[in-house]
Amino acid sequence: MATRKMLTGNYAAAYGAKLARVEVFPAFPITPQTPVMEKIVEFIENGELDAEFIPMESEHSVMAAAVAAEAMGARTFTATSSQGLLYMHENLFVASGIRLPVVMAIVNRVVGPPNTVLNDLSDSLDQRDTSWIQIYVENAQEVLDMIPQAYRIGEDERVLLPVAICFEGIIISHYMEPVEILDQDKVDHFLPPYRPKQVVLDPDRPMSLGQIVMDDTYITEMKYQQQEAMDRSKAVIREVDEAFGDAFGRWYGGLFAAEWIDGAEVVLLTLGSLASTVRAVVKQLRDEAGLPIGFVKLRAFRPFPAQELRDCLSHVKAAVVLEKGVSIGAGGPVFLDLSHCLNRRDRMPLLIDYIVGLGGRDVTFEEVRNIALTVFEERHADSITNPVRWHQVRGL
Amino acid sequence: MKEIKIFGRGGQGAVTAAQVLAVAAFLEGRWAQTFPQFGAERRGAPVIAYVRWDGIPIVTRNKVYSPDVVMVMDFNLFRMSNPLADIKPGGTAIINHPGNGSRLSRISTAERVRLFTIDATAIAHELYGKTTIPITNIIHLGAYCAANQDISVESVCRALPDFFPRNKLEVNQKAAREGYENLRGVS
Repeated sequence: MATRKMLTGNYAAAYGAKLARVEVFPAFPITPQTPVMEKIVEFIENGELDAEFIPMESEHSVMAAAVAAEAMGARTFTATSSQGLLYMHENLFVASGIRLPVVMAIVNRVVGPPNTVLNDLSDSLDQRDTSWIQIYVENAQEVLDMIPQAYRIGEDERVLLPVAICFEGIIISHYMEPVEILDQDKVDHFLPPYRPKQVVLDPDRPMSLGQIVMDDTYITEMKYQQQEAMDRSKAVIREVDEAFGDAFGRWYGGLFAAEWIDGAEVVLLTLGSLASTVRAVVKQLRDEAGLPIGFVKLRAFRPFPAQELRDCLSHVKAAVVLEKGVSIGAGGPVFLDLSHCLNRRDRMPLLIDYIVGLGGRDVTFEEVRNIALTVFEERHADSITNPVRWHQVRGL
Repeated sequence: MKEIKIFGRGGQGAVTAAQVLAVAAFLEGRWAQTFPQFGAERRGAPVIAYVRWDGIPIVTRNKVYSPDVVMVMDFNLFRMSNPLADIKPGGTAIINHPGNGSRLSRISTAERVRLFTIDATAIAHELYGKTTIPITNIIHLGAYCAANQDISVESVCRALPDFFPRNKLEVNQKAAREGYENLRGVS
């Protein structure tokens, strides 16, 4: 029986990993990820989860161990945050380059200095080029639901790529809220055991992985295969979302969830926990002021749903991104990706980027409402000179 | 939606108190959310923890800017700042203090705040023994139930097994009930 319990986002991730029956869990503690590790170790210790915990000496080694375990055919899970994730960076390419569907919870935390345990998305947005699928979630329930989904997506033979489930530190990881813990039998049915066919280290069938090659061999082709796999993963993410909804009654929209798009003149797009605030603002402005405003919650940052968002947003006058991350010198990473996909010869929506919530600064309902109203006033402008807006800078 | 802010010192159990109260609200069929304010986690250092509960799912993850209820588990915290500075007009304050003494009259509050005291330190010493930092958290939850009458002390007791080993349940149930019975109003 599914049960509802008060859980933190971190514990929801641990329950998700348990329900997915992960077999190997290498990890290294870092705030705010540490309780994920503590809870999984508790599950292993009390016999609720049959898995091997490998306490590593660093995050770099964690990903090395995860690669090795996954290459042995074991369903592998890990979790990290911030500087720990950046320390893994090199080995993230190894997992995706060898096409190993490791799943990792990224508990988002600011990359310092200045240092804090609070969150923005700068650690994981920064990993966009590592060929990992990245899905951003809104609350503890979605954290739990996405761990089994992540394995089903990554392990699909059309995909075979590692998957990161990203959720904000503290405001998801340490907030305790009601979460439905899925029924194990139903999860077992939804997610069969991992039986890899291509890449498995086996003494009876020797194989070497990640070898040196020269320019006339296959690097270009293998990278292109990763691109094709990432493209195919779009359909798989949607299918898995459908299958999950059919089994458990919760659908999240796959690559992104769009609401009130028909007839919308302005659309607010965001990701992570901010989706809850922005959705509530959009709903209020529609219900109480009758403003034609729509809402998009972006879930997949990689693969970036460029064509799908173009289809969704091409009719709007202005699209606004609210994101807790920035590529200094350019703009918000989501805004930059959205710019290229909306770029058309004939006409494109006005595209505006709001950099918000850096360093864990609170983004309130009123602030988002003011942003929505400001952009709504600007929607007919032919062009704007300040598309990238650092919203909460004091003294500006 | 009701918002509760709990002030304590590291070791007093403010974070656990917030979690127990949230689980108690949850067990009564409400939607609940609880979280600590992150700072330096050390014994004796000031700690703040929050609870929100409501009849409908809670959307916000913002800070609590104007709490309905403020609980202060160590009176000396008033020396650093005024824990009641942002309490909602008409809100409820529950302060660990032995009585209606003159020190209490120096607390500045907004008008119409309902002020209560609980001698939680004395009760804690009686129940848990003399600890350097008195463990007043569950006593305060009993006081919460008495002052607000919206979560029952039975629900608080039902929430306790999620947080305490079996041999600590009885003393904490007693702590909740003593907190309930010893709340005092300050006019």
